[in-house]
Amino acid sequence: MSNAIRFLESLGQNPALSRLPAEQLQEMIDSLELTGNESDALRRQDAVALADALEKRAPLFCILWEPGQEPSPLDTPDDTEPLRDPTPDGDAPEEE
Amino acid sequence: MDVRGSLVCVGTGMMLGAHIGPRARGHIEQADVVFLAVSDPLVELWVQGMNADVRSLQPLYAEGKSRRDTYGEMVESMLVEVRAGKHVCGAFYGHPGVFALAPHLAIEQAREEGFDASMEPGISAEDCLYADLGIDPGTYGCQHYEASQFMLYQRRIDPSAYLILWQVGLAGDRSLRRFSTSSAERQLLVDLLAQDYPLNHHVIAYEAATLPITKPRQERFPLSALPMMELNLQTTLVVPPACPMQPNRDLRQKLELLGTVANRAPASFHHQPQRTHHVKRNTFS
Repeated sequence: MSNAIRFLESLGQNPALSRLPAEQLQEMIDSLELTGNESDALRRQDAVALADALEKRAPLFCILWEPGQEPSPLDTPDDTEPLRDPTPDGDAPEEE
Repeated sequence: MDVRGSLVCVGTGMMLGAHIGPRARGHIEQADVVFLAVSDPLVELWVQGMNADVRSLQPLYAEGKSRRDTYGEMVESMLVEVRAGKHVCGAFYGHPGVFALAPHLAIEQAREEGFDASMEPGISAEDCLYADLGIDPGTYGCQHYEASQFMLYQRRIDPSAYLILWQVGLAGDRSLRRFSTSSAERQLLVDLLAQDYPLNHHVIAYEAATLPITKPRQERFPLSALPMMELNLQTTLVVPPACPMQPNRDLRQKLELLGTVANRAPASFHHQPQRTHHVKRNTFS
């Protein structure tokens, strides 16, 4: 784990660090032996620049859900047919 | 030695360093292999530092590729290693079981195949939303829908309660192949909401902070402006109540008739005055 990420972890764990005066925070950052770009990004609290400096710029997708997952025996199966079986025991509902 | 594979899906919480539980972290650190789906590149680097074999699930996404296929591949990636006898951890941002299909499917599949499989909760975007916006879902009630599902199905909503629409940046998408939708599709959502809310009703675009150096997004605007707003994959739309709760007089009368029973209840059962002052800024605009 890089020192920059370790520093962010400390900030996340300890809210008192976020309340430190800017000079003290800068002293902490200076003591981390970061590259110039990493240090500068942390000082400016620039997450995009920090990701760039750590060569982690690829966009991330944060979608883990799709609509139409709810069980509904009234649904006509179509292109949004759920992946999951609509009944708890896995049996498809009988059509009338 | 136990050579039987297992699966646990854990939540990393939303903010780097701040939200992960010790049990979830223990699972990540002790797993043979970790599969990771988080929403921030720096969070991904953070989790990669907890275990020597962390594999990002991000390459499974692609523009133009159905997310249904992506989620299926996520499940299969984890199950392959479980079948190989490994202790597998799926680490997902927020809560692994809230608006997260692959963890549920993977656990279901692993159990069907006879493997131990479980889920550890995490702090979700919903939890952060309540804290950041000062909303208590108990005050007026709270309805949650995935935005496209809300549009695709007939729903009965209650405008005297909060309405929260998740994945509003994808509102109206039926293809599962896109990562944004058009202002025309969002206008259809506005038209739908306008059946219950005035167009000048103020709504909130919310995004939880994922780093301790960033702030959550809490942008208020009239409902009519929704099609023009910047809506990202992680944006959630919060629609505050637009009218007071309507008393159910019929049920109150029936309860009144049971009054003798109620009078025998211990004092602690008596209704407490509702705390409403903190939500006034969000409601009835």
